[in-house]
Amino acid sequence: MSIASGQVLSPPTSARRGRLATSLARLRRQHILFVLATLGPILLLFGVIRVYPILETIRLSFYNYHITQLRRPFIGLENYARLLDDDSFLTALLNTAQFSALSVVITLTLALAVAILLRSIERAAPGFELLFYIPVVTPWVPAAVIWKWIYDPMYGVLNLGLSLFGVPRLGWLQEPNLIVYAIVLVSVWKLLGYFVVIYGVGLRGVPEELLEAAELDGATAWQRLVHVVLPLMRPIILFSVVICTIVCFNVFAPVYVLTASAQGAPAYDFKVLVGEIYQNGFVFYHMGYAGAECVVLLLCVLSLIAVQLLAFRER
Amino acid sequence: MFREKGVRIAAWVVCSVLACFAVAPFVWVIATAFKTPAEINLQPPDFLPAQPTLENFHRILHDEHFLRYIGNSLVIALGSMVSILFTSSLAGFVFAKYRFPLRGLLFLVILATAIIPLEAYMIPLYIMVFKARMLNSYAALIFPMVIMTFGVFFMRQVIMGIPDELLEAARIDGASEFWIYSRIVLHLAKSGMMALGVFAFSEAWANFIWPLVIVSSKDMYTTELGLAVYQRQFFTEYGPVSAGAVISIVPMLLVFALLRRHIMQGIATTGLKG
Amino acid sequence: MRRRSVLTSGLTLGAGLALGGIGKLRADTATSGKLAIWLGYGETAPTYQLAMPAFKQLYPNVQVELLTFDLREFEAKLAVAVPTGTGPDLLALHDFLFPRYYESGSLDAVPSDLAAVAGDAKVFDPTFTTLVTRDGKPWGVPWWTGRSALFYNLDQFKEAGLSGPPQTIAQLWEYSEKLARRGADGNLTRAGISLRLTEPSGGIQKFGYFYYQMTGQQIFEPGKQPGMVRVTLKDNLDIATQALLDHVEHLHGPKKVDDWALKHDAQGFANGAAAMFFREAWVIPFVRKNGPDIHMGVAPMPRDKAWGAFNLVEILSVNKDSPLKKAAWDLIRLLQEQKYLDNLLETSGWIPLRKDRDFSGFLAKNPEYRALMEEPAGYKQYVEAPDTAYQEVTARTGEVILAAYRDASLLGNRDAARKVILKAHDTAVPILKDAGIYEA
Repeated sequence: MSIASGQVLSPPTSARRGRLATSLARLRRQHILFVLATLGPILLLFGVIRVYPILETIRLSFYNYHITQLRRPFIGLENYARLLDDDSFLTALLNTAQFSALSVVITLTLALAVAILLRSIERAAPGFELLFYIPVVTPWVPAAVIWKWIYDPMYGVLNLGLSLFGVPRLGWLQEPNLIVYAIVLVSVWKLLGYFVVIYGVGLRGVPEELLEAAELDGATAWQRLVHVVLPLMRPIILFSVVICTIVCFNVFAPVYVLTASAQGAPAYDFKVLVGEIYQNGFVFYHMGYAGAECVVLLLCVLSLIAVQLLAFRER
Repeated sequence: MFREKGVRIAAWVVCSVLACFAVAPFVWVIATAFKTPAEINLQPPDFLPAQPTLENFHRILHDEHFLRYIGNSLVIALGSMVSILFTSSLAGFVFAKYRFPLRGLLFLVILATAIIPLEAYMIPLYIMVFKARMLNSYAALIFPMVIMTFGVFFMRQVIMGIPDELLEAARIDGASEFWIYSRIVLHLAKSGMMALGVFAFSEAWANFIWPLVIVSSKDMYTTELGLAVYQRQFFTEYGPVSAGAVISIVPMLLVFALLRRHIMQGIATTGLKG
Repeated sequence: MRRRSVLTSGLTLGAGLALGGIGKLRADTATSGKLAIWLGYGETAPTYQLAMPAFKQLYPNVQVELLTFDLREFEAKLAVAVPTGTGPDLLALHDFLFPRYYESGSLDAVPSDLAAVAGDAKVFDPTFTTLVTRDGKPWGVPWWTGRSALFYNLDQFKEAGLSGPPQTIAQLWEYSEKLARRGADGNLTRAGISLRLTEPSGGIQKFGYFYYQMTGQQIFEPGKQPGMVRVTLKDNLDIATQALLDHVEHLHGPKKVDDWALKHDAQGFANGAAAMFFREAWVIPFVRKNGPDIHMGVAPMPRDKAWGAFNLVEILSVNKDSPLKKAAWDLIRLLQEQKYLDNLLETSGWIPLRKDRDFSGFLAKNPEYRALMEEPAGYKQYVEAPDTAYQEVTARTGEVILAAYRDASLLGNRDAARKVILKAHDTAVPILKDAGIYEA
C-alpha cells in the first residue's frame, strides 16, 4: 500500500471490491506521479547545490589539487596522513572542540533556564522573547562592528566596565587564552534567543494538568521541573543539542569578522576548522587538503550526533 | 508553570539582566549612529548622543548607494525565501505524507548536507555558476539559497501534524494531490511557513561570503557586502558604519516583531513540543 | 608552448570554460564594454578616478568599474575568479601575488613600448624590473611601492629627552625603553615601539626588518633561478636567535616596551599609544586624518650590519582573458603620467616607482616624505622573494615566531630561542619544497 497510513476506508463489500481496487490503483499511480514530479526536481536541486559540491570536495581530498597548477596527481590518503602532523589543523580541531563544548553547554543551559523562568511570568514572556531574538536576526557583519568595539582593550566598553571592579586591562581578542571566551560570549549572545524560543514552544506544550497534579501531591518547583517538565522536554532538548552542535562546529563567520585585520588592530589568529578549510582552499589554494579537512569535520559532527542520539535514547 | 513567588522574582531578575546583555550592544550601535564624530571619540564615552544627528545616515546612504544595496538584498532575500518556502513545503509534504522506496535514505541524505557549511564547498559551486554564465547576477546570488535542509526538516515536522483524515477526505472528493498541497496543506501550515519564511529571509539577508565571491560590480552589492567593504575602508568612521549596521538590522527586527505570534505558533506546530 | 598548455588548463577547469575562452579571444581590442578593476588597496582608487576623464576621451564607450575590497577578501576573490577566466580586466597585483598569476598563465605580455619603459634602468630600479620579468620579458609594469620607514612621535621624543630618531637597531631598542610609559597599575599605556604581535604574515615581515639590518639578508631570499626561494635562518642562526631574544626581552619583564593589549600600528600611533613603529608611507595621510594632534617624524630604517628599506610593490598587469586588453594597457599608460602619480602620492601616500618623474615640488611641501623617497648612498632597496607559496610560507613561519613572542620562558634562554628559529626554518622548507620552489 503506497498511501499514507491512517486512511479512512470502510471495509469493502464484495460488490464494491472491484471498483475500489481500480480506484486504489488509480490513486497509487497518481501518488507516484505526484511524488516523482515534485520531489524529483527538488532532489535534483539538492543534488546539484549540496550533494555534488560536497562529494566533489571529498573526491579532491585524494588529490594534490592546486587550483592554479596543471598537475593534480592522485595521492590516496596522503592528505589525511599530513593532517596528523599539521599543528595548525590540530590546534583548529582543539579550538573548535573547546569552543563548541563551551558554547553548546552555556547557550543551551542558559536558554533552558530562561525559557523555564519565562513560563512563570507568562505576560512578560513575549516581550522578553523579542528582546532575546534581536541578536539572532542581527547579521554577523554589523554584529562584529559592535563587538570589536566592545572588546577593544584600550577604548572598549567591556574593559571600561571591568575596570570599575578593579579588573586590569585585558586584550580580549589579542590574548590566545581569552579569545575563545570572547568568541563564546558573542556566540551565546547570538544564539541564545533562538533556543529560548524553541524551548518556550516546547514548554508551552507541557500539559498544565500534570503540573497541577504534581503540585497537589506536594512536589516542590524543583521536583516538578526535574520529574515532570524535563522528561517531557527530552525530544526538544535533543533537537537543540544537535542543531547547536552543528552550528558551533561550523563556526567561522564570527571568528572571521572579529579577527579580520583592519590595519591597526588585528586580533590573535584564532584557528577553527572551517577557517582552516577556507584558508587552505582559498588562500593557499590547497583544495585537496582542504577537502580532507572537510571530511574530518563531517566525521566529527556525525560521530557527535551519534553519541548525542545514543545518550538521549528512551530507556 | 511555576507560580512560586521566589521563582517569579528570579525570573524577572535573570531575564532582565540577560535582556540587557542581548540588547545593550544593539542600543549602543543605534546611539552611535546618531552621534557626531566628536562625541564618538569621547573618552569615556557618553551612552546617548547629546545632539542627535542624521548626518551618518545621510552619509552612508549618499556615498555608498546603500539604497541600491538594500534593494539588492531585498530581491535576494525575498527570492530565496519564496523558493525555500515552496521547495521546503512541497518536499516536507511528500516526506511527511507519502511512502515510497528510499524515503528514509533520501531524507537522511538531505539532512546530512547541513553538516558541512557552504564555505567548505564554495569552489565547486562557483565553477558551476561560472559555467552557467551566471556570475554577478541575482540568479547566482540566490542559487545556493533556493533550498534549505532545515526548511525541509521543519516543514516535514509541521505537516506531519496535519491529520491524514483531512487529506483522505479531499481525495475521496476527487481532489488532485497538487490541489491538496496548495489548498489544504499550505493553508494549515501557514504559521509554520511564516516561521520558516522569516528564518529563510534573515539567513539570505545575512549571507556574506557567497556574495563576496560572486559579485563583481557595485550595483550588485548586498547590504552586508556594502557594509563590510565600507567598514574595512573607513574603519575609523564609526558613525556611518553604525548607521549602516542599523539599516541592515532594522528590517529583520520589524519583520520579526510583526510576525512574532505566527512564528511561535509555527514552531509549536512542528510537534517538537514535549 | 608550455605557457599555452598552462593557460589552457587554467581555463579548462570544466569543459564549458573553453567555450567562454574562445568567445573572449575574438575581441581583445574591443572599444566598448565594461572594464573591471579590483583593488585590494582601496586608497589608490581616487587616482584611477582622476584618470577617468582622460580615459573616456580615448574610449568613450568603455565603462570602467572600480571595486575595492579588504586585502584578504581581494585575494580570495582573485583566487577563484582569475583561474576560471572571470577576473577583472586590469590586474593590480601585489608583488607576492604576481608569480601565482604568471604561473597560471593569466597575464598578458606587456606591449613593446611599455616593456621598453619597464626595462629601462633610468626609469625603474633594476630590482623592480627583475620582479616583473620572466622568460626575458616583463609581464607587468611596477607602479608604486610601500617602502618601510620608521615613524616616530616628535613630542614624545622631546619629552623623553631624545633629540633625533635612532640610527641603529641597538639605539632603537634603547630609545624604546625610554619612550615606554606605564600607568598607575603598572600596565603599559604607551608602547616605546609598536611591534607587530598579531597576524602571522605581517609578524614575520616586521621581524624580517630587524633580521635584514642585522644580517644583510632576508629570511626568504630569492634563489638563483627566478621564482625559487632560499631560507636563510640556519645560515644566520646566532643572529636570528639574537633578534628573537631582543623581541622577547622587550615584551616581557622589566624592559617591556610593548603589550598585546595596546592599540597597535598606525591606529595606536595616531592615538598617541605608540612612540615609534615601522610602516609604509600611507601612514602619513592616515595620521594626518586620524591623529591631527600628532607631530610625526619619519626616518630611514635604523641600520646595523646592513642598511636597507623593504619594498612591497604593486604591479599593473592585464588579464589575458580580457576583451579590453588594449584599453586596459592604455589606462596603464595614462597612469604613468606625472599628474596621476602626484595624486597617488598625495591621496594614498604610496610612492610611485618611476625615477624619471619629478616630485621635488611635492617633497618641498611634504618634507615627511623625504625619508621615504630619497635614497641616500648605501641605503639599499630590497624586495621580497616573489613566490607562489608566499602566503602559506609567511603565515606558517610567522605563527612560530609570534607564538615565541608570547613565551616569557624564552627570556634570556638562548638555547630555547635557537630551537624556535630552527623550528621556523623547518616549517618553511617543506612548504617551499611542496610548491617546487625550494632552493637549498
